[in-house]
Amino acid sequence: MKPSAELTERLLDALRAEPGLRPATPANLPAVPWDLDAFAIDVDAEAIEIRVVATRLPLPPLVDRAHRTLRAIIDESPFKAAVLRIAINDIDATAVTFPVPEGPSEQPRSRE
Amino acid sequence: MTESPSTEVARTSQLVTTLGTTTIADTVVQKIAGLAAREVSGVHALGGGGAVRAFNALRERIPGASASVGQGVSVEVGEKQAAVDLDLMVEYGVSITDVARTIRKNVINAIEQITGLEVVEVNINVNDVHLPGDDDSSDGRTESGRVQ
Repeated sequence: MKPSAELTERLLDALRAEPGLRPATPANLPAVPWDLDAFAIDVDAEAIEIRVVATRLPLPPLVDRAHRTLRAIIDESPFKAAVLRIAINDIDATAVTFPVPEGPSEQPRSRE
Repeated sequence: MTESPSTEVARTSQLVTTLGTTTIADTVVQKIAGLAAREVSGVHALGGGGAVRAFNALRERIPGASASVGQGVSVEVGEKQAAVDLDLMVEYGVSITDVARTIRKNVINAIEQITGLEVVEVNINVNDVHLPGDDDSSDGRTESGRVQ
């Protein structure tokens, strides 16, 4: 197995264990015998880009955790010099059963 | 935020750290802004002018289809900052300045807390006012019209 394919597999395993994020995989592809989630990861010597969809909010704690986990895996690979880029491509409908985070929510005046 | 030395991460923002960078797609910010604006009382609908809304009203009648949550919202998203433009229709009788202020506050709050991006601008374009009875104009015309 090529080092990039091996790293992709390890990153996907780690990403699947991360709560709140899933690989952003093209929808409606026909059934194929390989792992479609691998489309969400690009590995090269300079940069590793991982495209994800958020299934929970807020994003900062999720990406912070993902960065730590994924960076640790990259640092153990031959690609340790590569920059890690996590791209949040979309948010799932399940993530936005709002409540917007607390804050002033004053109601506008209504003319009677 | 304080972090223990073993987990300390140098950062210039929540999205750019020494461990790597996070980019957020426009559609993510668009959805959050659209939802945050819609929940403000006094906002009737988001979207462009009459033709756009008429098309969306038609689309909503198609089973399984619904108006896009990002409708009426355009955004510009950078590495650390975002700017939002909203097109919307308000309910008749509300104070537009108050509604606009509440929308701005809600949108900024939601985007900053949910994504970690700094919102530098929320421009609001109120393109119409929804009058009571506008929705049932097609049924009401024969009842309230001057001629039959």
